[in-house]
Amino acid sequence: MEYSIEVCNLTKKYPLVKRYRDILRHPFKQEKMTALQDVSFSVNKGELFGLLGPNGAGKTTLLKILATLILPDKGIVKVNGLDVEKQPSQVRRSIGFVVTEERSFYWRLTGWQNLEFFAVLNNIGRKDIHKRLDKVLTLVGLREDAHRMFKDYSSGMKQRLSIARSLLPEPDILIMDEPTRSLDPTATKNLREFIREDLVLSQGKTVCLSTHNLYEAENLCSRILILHKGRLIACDTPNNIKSLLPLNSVIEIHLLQGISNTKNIIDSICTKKRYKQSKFKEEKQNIIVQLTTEENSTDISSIVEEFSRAGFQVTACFPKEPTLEEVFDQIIGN
Amino acid sequence: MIKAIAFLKRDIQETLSYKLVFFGHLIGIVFPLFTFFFVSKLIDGSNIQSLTPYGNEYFPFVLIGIAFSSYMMLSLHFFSGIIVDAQRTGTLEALFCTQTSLPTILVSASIFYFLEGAINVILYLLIGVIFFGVRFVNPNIVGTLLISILTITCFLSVGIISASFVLVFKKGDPIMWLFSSISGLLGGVMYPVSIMPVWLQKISKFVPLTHSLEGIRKSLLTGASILELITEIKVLVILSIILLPLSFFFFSKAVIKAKKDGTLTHF
Repeated sequence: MEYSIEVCNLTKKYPLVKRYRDILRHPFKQEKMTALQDVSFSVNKGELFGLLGPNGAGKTTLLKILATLILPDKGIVKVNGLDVEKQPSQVRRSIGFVVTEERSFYWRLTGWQNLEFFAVLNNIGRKDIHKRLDKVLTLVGLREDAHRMFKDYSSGMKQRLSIARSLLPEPDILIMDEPTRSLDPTATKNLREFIREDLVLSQGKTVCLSTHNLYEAENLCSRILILHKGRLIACDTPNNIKSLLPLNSVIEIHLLQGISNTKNIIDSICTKKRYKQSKFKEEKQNIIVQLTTEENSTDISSIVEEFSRAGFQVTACFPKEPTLEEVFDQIIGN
Repeated sequence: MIKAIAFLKRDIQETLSYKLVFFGHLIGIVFPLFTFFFVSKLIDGSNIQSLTPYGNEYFPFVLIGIAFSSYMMLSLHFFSGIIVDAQRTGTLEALFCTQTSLPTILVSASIFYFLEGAINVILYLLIGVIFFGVRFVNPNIVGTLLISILTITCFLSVGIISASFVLVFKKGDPIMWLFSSISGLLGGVMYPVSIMPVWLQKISKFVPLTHSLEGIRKSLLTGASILELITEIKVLVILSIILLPLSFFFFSKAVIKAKKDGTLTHF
């Protein structure tokens, strides 16, 4: 199988800035901070791959290594079969790095002038520039606003121009660092649709994006890599990652209101059966209780029986599928 | 070449978007010249011997000193300025992600500043001639251009070494600080080197600006031939041969170091 991105035992450590005291005490000692430790994964061609992790997890470092902006310390990183250390210029020909920093454009030039400048730097011939600019601007929906100064663009437009710039050299792989950061909900939704529908499904591009947003990762990406403190915690489809938490361990039970002293009775059932109560919510007619059991596969009928015996009328009882957020919290130890 | 034009076009478009830049610039040239013109009124007629080799007049002497030294000092800052500017405006990362090598980016981005500097020199000299009555008798234009090119090569090399410091240490570049201060003090910009104590005159022989200003003044004010400028030309050629490869070596090491430390775009 051919991969778009292959990373094998990637390690990156950054030297820490020394304090004056440390310079005097240990002039030759260099403390380092681990940004990535033995990370290995691969991304298939035409895949929408997500990097997920809290701040400082190493997502941006990983993306910048793929974009040849940072050199790895150890390990092998290949993009489109090319080594990022040995063939950086060829790698840059295969990728479009979406620099989402708004300041990465010339604010007093128009969108068109900005793209024209970057098109020349990407070796696009003079004859093709006009056609290529037309194409990418139409694709990101900015053709009408192409001749407005960049400073007058909204955040969403700036983000889309950034994607247009990355598409100029017609790369096979797009690398995006938090593309929906600082966008409003509508712009976020449109951009997500554009990434999935236009870039991945229609054009067959490989997209590797980082995000903090668990909903985005779960709904947009076909596979997710979770990084925490520079280490790879999980790399799989969202559903498989969710299955890392036993499905039956959380049971949700809906009871009809009607008997007195409800809370105490439920507490005593939980103590007796060693259930952990993770949620107790009283509504007008219903009580919703979430129980975490010690067994991986709890017999739901026995729970229903237990609550019925105590006088409750059980209207629903089902294993609750964990959200990616719950899995993520559990994985990173919160 | 196409890339160089793209950079030039970008810089012109950006500069033109600021409507008052040119006028501010012009005022910045004219006002100091007035100051030196009045100072020269004070000095002229005092028959200062150290000015004899340059035609006995102070204003043409200082006009050439200011015009050419400002260009040369500017060329010192070209590369580090381009890097710091792109780091601060946030465009450096986007530039590095293109299919253009870093040396090409730097050289292309510096063209606008080269032209701007050359236009400044011409403006200085034109204003001197038109408004202050400076006369250049039989000026050796070829000699002036040759010495200017050699001096800029030396200064650019030092500028590239300085840019290497900026890439790695971000601020506090000792090369730029030392070179500019020593050049300003010992290069003979405002006064002839011959008025300094002998030991300082000896040190000034190691400063490229001393030789370039000496050569340019000789060629513009006394019409010295290439043969008469041979000493200055020799010194500047030797310095260029030493400094240019050294600067490329330092710069390539600095890029690798910044990429390893992950600080290429930091400032």
